[in-house]
Amino acid sequence: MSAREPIGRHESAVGHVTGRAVYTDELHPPLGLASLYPVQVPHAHARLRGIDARAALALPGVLAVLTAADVPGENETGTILRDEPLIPADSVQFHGQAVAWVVAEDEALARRAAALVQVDAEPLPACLSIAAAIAAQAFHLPPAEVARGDATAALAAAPRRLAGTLDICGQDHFYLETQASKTPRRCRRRRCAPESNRAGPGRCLTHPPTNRPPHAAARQAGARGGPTGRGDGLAGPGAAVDAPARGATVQRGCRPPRPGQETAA
Amino acid sequence: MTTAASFTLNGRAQDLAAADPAESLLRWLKRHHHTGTKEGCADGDCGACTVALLETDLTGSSRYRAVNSCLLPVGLLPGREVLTVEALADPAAPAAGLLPTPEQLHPVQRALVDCAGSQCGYCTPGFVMSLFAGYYAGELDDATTEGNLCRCTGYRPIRDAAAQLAAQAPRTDRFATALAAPRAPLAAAYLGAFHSPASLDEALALKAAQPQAAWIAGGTDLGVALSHGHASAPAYIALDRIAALQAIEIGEDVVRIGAGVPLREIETRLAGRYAPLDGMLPWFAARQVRNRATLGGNLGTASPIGDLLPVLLALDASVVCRSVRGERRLPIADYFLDYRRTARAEDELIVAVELPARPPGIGASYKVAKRQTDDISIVAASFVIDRDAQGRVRHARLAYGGVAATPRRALAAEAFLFGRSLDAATLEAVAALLRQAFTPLSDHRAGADYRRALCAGLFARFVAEHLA
Repeated sequence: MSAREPIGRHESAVGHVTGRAVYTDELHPPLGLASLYPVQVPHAHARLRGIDARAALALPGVLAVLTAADVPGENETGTILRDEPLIPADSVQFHGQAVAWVVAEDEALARRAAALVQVDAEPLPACLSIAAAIAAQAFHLPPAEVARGDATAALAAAPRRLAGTLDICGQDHFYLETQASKTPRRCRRRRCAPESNRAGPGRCLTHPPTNRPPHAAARQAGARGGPTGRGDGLAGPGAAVDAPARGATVQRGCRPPRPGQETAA
Repeated sequence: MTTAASFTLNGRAQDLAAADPAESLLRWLKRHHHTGTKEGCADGDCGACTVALLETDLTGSSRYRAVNSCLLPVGLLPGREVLTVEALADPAAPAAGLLPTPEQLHPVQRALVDCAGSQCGYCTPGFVMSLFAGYYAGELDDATTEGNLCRCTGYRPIRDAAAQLAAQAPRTDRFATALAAPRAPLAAAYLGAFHSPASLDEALALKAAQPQAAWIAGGTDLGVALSHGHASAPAYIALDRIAALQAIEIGEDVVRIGAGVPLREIETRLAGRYAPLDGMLPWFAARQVRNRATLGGNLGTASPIGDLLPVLLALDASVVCRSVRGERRLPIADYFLDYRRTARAEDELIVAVELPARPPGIGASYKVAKRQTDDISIVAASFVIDRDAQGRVRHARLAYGGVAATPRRALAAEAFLFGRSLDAATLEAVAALLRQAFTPLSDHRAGADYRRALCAGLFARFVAEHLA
């Protein structure tokens, strides 16, 4: 039960344990801060046919409803596979994917307006199990083989053989830390300083057309594999899209859309 | 007498006159720029928003209870004392800008710093407050922080910090002194449509006058809805300052547990008396939730996955209900009617649960969930078996949650067991009966087949562990 010697003291530890460490969502809101709220699609796979935002836009205080068409530059954020659009244009790839973002004067209004956005999405067949994915030859990555020696011959010569299948359920890494991101107005390429505490702020703050804006992160979430990139599409990309476009400072709060409703591919 | 609409936060009175009583304490704290308390899930799952609530029991002794501030509506706060992470360091510490020195930190904070117990720091204030409550209660083990999730530091250095604290001599500091101060019981309080009566009669009269008002006990279920802005009733009648609901009376024949006694209190005070209760309480929910949740609340919401309900079925509990029309005692077997529908009348309040003081036989409870702690049941089961000198079953209770619209007993299996010894043939036949006893649902937690298999499997485990 003896405490092990830590390698070194965390430079922010005293701030953490006293509650003095400040996170993006707790920064004093600048004048004119607008809030974002996602419009999510309740299909695991769908073709996006159209988005009708007229009813939402008619609400006083709603500033914009952003879709893929509003992304001024590169809409692709995938670092390895190029299949993670900032805002999807024509297809829904997972349940709860955000296909539009409402920008409004406050979070409650943005949330209310998001419910008024009509999304015309045609559900498509979805592979919801490994077996279904194999049957449909729908692989995440091109099939790869790891081989050494002559396994077939070795197995044939083995005195005992066991056969069977093993299912391992996937487990999604998700966030405890704030998902907030904030982008100031008049954010110009290479001059803006978006704020975020996400484990992968560079990605969530993708700023077309450079995709590599300098960003501020007083402190960051720890990344143990999953949180770095998962859920980028919900972490507030609209902030980066909208700030330069509309001249407003916008924020995506840390609060999930609904309990347990934040989803990722 | 009523309490003025204020509460004490970190030693300072806070005016609640203009507050929305349905707002969570967590949201209130943030709006008032007390941002040390963090919002992770706002559902009572992650513990990032843990604060210490000072609780005074019927004997007048006080303790700090770790609770989730996201589940605590402001309406419950008048007259209460709350501590957040900001209050722990030495008050001589510089107020703005400069951080406290290591010497000015509270021992709990210093232990976490010394053991490298933070990384991103977002869950840290919650861990600090759980350890703080444990520090003064002399309870510093893994269960102290069972309701706090960490997503990056890893639990090893946090456990090191708890171990370091446990090895320290108990402190006689300003927090210990504050705990020792005498306190009067909380007076009745009213905040808008949020009523906190101090007596049973007053509560029942309020309900008779406002039939649409909702009872709120610990608020760990209703608090989730309120936390997300879904106020469901026009008014609330809080039950957490009614002394008559807070007592545990151990009699010759009956143990009477007040419907408002927090589960953590039952767990401590009735430890060793009812094996099925002992076996379920630690898994019911995390420490912060058990510090608030009550038997009355569990029975009132009557969820088919309310984990204590199979236990009460197995122990042949009685539910004592009272209204302005009088009091009546319902055998638990007659209590559950349909999905979240019970024999309790709308104007009745559950005031107590009675258990036989000397339950027959041997019992145990089991809970299967996707995650062992702090999770919702796939199936919960509670068993009691009593055998005569020849080994023949003379009393059997096999109760389950998560298998039907209500918590249910497997009556056919119980009847089959009666008069039989637990030999291989009997157990095989009982397993078959248990597999077909219910028609559970398939949902995102588990399939119906798995639930049916658990009904048989958990009983087999009970027999193997306790009756072999």
